Amino acid sequence: MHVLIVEDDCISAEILANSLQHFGYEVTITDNGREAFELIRTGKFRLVVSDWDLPEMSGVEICREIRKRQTSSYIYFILVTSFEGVENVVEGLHAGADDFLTKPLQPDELRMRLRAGERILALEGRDVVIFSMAKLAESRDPQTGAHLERMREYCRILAEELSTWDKFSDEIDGEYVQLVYMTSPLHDIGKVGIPDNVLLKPGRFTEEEFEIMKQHTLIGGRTLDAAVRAYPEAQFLRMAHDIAMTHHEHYDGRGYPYGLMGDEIPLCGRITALADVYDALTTRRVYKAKMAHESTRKIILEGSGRHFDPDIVQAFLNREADFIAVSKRFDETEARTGEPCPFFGIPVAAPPTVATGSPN
Amino acid sequence: MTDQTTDVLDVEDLLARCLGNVEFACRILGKFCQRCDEDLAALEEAVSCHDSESVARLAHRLKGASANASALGLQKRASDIERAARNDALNDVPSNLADLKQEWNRFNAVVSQFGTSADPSN
Repeated sequence: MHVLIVEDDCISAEILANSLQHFGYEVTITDNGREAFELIRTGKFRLVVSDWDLPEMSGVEICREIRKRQTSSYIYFILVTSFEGVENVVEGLHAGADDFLTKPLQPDELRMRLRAGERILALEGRDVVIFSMAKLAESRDPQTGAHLERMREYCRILAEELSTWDKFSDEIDGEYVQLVYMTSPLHDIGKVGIPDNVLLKPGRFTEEEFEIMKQHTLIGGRTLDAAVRAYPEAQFLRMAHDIAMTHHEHYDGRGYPYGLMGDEIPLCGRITALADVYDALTTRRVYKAKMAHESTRKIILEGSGRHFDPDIVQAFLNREADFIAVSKRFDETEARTGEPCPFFGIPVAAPPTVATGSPN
Repeated sequence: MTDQTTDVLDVEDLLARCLGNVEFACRILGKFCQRCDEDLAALEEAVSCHDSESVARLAHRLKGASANASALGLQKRASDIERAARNDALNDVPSNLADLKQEWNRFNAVVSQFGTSADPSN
């Protein structure tokens, strides 16, 4: 596990790092409170050991800011202090600290407190549950191979790219990127409610079948909406709902289920729409052959402003090389192992060449 | 090391904190000596400017570093200064600072016994 050490005293920082590395943890050190907060927002750290007194932002302030936000994963926060007195402990706990260490540090005590933190974090396991739900839905339609794994990578790339643009700096931060990565696999969860004769049909849908298939957005959206109502503070559920409901909406309003247009479609839905189509086109399906990146790129460019948000298309163009790398990596893994995914995936049988066209 | 110097530098405690790694303990002591020099100068400056906030902050940091370096005497003297500064009793600080400097000299004398290798296990 990766631990962030926030300590402006180099002696204490080195001793902490030496102990943690000895106990098998990966360690990143920063000596500045503001920088620590930004690092934590990337979502890469779930265990933080922070000094109390820090430049720019104190340990208590960092903790308070973290707890104000709904993070994609719980951050276990240990405050290190040489302050004396119960009032400091109370202040730290009130800010949301999980535990305390006092200087001088005792390695064995440090180890035990971190283990306690790991036990708490292990209880969460939310990411795994989310992905398991998505894989369960996908298991009814296993012909798509490692679709979920690739798609979340594409979504992450797009969100990361957009986060560097001034236009999106207020909406997308490291946490948003993590949330998109975590929840985008749930986009098709509503397919659990689509009858087999439609879901598994190898050929083109009739108009009536297509209407049934379109219901998967509403089924998924409504299911997740019930969860959002039960847990309104859970930002990941809200994003999962938005993605499931809107990933088939088109920028020009011609998509489904509601025909939303432009910014009426949540950003995460617009991101997922492009990632979903890119993956559908560049992978082999029962009803179609795999399309090359160049041809897929052309289709996506043609869809800019119609199917897709032009900004998302530009983000795709800016990060094209990363899309190709992800696609290639998964192709190689499948070719090597015959397994499309490391979860519940079922090896893909050679596809019969039948019909053309289908919703993603 | 003798019992008389344990209250200046508790070698056993330092080695335990460094998980028995002598080389690492020496590096920590080396860094601590360098850091202490700088902090003492900054502390003197803050005291002369009657900047109680800086005095408290610097003394607090020195207290934490001393504790981790097992420099017990320095830890106590730094703690006295921090307390005085936080209580706005800056009049007490100059004499506390003199005690701290004296302790610093004792600490240097103990560390110098390790020789150039500064190996605390010798």
